[in-house]
Amino acid sequence: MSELLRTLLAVFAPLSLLTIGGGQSVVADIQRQVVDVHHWMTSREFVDLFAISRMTPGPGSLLATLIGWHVAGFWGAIVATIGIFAPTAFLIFGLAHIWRRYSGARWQRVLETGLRPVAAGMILASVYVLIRTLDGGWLAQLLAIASTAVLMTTRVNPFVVVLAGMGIFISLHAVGLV
Amino acid sequence: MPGINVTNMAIWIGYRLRGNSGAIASFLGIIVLPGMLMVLVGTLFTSLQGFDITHIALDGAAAAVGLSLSLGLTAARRVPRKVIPMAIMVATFVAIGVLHWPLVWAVLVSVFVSIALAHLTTA
Repeated sequence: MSELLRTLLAVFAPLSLLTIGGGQSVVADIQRQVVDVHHWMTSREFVDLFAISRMTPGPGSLLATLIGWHVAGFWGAIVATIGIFAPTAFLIFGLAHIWRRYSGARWQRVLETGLRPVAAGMILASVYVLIRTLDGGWLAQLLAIASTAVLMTTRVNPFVVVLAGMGIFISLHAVGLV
Repeated sequence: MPGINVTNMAIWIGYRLRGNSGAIASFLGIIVLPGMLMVLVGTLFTSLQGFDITHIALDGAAAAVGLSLSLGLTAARRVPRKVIPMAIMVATFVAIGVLHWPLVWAVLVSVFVSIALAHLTTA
């Protein structure tokens, strides 16, 4: 395995264990490592890849696949995918058995109570990092907030919201506003 | 399981229904196919990079950040309105989002503190 592929694995495999609450919680750290530590891309390119990863159906952690592909082609995509998914999948298999056996135990409530605020803080930190790096300026930030409101108050498919966002920006461009 | 993610949920359901082959089938269905589709879309955008409209469209895809924000707010709403959980949520946010501390260490510390405090306060 080349040096680059090894580094990709070293970036994503530890983060995998932190995606138990969902892929969104590690986006801030993926950005930090990919942009600031390894200089594989600019923060603008990172936000573009993030947007593309949300345009297609599938788990949010697939962002890793796209980054791997961008950084090291086909094998990069494979290695990054294994890195982000495999460790947590194995962990869950072990945990799920134990969890079912002791369903409702006090230590489970303690774990849930303890993990909840950390997970929320992680996801909000990712959002903060993303919003700060949005390239479309305040209009893009406004759009992000508007789409949040739509998603939280309606049952519209997220995919539609992203497509609508693109449509809005293309229209604004057509009339010369962006 | 608390806040288990979609992929693991799918793999687990596949396993419960059809054993190992079910788990593998779920994995292929939820990761490999969407992954290939995504790389395809990514390639498309890269090949259209010469056009202004591509960048404009990607700027508009900023709406995608709304997905993360709505998830974050939902998660935050489920945090009990008490001093300790709120303080831990804010501290985690600041350490990762503002101070850019390495995630693994920041989370290890906050998980340890949070679970220890939950242990002391949970009946």
